[in-house]
Amino acid sequence: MLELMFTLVGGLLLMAGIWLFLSRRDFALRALAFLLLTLGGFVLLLVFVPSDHLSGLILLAALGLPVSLALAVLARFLQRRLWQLSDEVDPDAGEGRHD
Amino acid sequence: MRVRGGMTDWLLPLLLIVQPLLWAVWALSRRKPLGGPGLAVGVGVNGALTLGIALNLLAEGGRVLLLPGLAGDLGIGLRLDGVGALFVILTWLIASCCVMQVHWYFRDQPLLRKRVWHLVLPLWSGMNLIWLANDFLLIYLGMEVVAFCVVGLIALNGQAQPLRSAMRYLQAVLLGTLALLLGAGVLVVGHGTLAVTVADQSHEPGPYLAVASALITAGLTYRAALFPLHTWLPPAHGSSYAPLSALLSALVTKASFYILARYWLANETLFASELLGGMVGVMASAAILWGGWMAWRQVKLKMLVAYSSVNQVGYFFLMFPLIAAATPEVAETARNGAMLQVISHALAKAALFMAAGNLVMGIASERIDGLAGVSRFLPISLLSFGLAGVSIMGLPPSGGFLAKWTLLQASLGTGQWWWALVIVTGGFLSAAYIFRVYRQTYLEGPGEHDFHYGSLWLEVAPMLLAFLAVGLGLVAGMPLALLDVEVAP
Repeated sequence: MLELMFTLVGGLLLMAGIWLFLSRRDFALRALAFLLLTLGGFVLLLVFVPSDHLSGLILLAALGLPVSLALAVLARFLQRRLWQLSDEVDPDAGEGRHD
Repeated sequence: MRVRGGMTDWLLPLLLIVQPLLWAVWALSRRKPLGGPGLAVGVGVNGALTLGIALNLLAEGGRVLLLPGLAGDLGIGLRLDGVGALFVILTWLIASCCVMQVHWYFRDQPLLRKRVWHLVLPLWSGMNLIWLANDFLLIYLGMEVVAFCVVGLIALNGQAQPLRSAMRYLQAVLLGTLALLLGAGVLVVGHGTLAVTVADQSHEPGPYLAVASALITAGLTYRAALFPLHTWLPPAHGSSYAPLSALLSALVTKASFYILARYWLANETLFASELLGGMVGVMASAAILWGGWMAWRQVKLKMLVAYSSVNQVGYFFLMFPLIAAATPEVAETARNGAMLQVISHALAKAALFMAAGNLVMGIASERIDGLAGVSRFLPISLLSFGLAGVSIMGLPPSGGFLAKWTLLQASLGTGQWWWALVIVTGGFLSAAYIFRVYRQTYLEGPGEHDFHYGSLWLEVAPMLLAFLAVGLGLVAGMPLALLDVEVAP
């Protein structure tokens, strides 16, 4: 039952990540998509991992998830800076931020 | 395998990794940007640590230092061997020259000169961590530290085009390291290790290793910008400041190849096949030809140099089809050729970018057709560009020549003559884009008053690196001897 739940959650996260990546051209949202893909991949790995190898995965996830999150935040920051620049050049060009 | 965990064994490599970070904290704590003496002390200390590692390695041989407890059981720790030491030395050489160049390049821009050290110095730490890591966890950490710094360096001037390039780079980083991380996860699940060398090589390779290898190879080829996954590289390297592009092009792209080469060379018997090697070889050949062609077509000088990186990265990856199909002797020749190519390209490309930056500064334009008359008024920068170009083209006695010659020998040794054809054609393409720049510089152009002359100190680093790239062909025995220092089984 637990395995089924993990498989579902991991699969949903992966699908959400793939959908977000393919449907949006916004870089910051794509960064979020990568984060979802990372999460989904690890949840699926957790289902199939033998217990003696669990610690290695926890180490990887403990490092990988925050780092991916931080990269996503960095991407968001860059995106906002780009919007600011486009607003400075053309004050009416703010529509791009709703992409 | 020699495994030690004493404090004295850890001290030198740990200091080598941490020292640039401490240096960055010091830079951060100062109100003024780091000056010449502060930079000289930092470079000197790092040089002494680098020399210490190399001498220690030659005296005591290679070894693995594992962390205590559970992390050590998973293979997490540092690995001191010849190839790692060679890249640490290469990093010191290039980063020191970049530090000098950055110092003089931004001398009239104190704000940039202050900010740049917060990015360059942690990047140096991250690179050293990658060269010395024994496992994918530390490699991942090093690669992400490097990625953060690179994004900052590309976007440093805050203009729209570099910001877009930084975003594209970030996207490549996220996708590449996601694949690497998942590959490492599969490796833990299947083999209970995070080490680059899968310890238990007695068993038949299973699906776990195949999946892990596919993910790791895909992620790292993306981050190394191998064709057709190269599209992020030219804008990223072409739009940042020239001394920073030198650092990115000379060192950062090498990290992905280095990890992949270590993984393949250590576990080749478990998963590498002629088919897999052939697939990488086709991508490498396409990179050589496409990169060369695109470099020849560029109208901006820095973009030409950036596309030249796409072209030269292809040569590194020709190692994989050659080692997959060869006897141990020929495989060693292929490895030596690829490593020489990495070193000579790193030196030559850093020199090319720095010289190109000086030329762009001199003519106040990025366009190649603006270079007319440069041969008369900016001869030193042009000489550095030309000497580095000799290595890029693969003319004797340069390191580039020896590397390509060794790869040619390996490809003929395996009977795979078609790679030799690609190597020779790539050399002609490189000559075409280098001579295209040279041809323009000898045309009649504007008078002396139209050129902007920077400090003579800006000529020192590119000239030094260009001479090293050319001279490498004469002293190639030294790096190759260091390459042979391995961890005893």
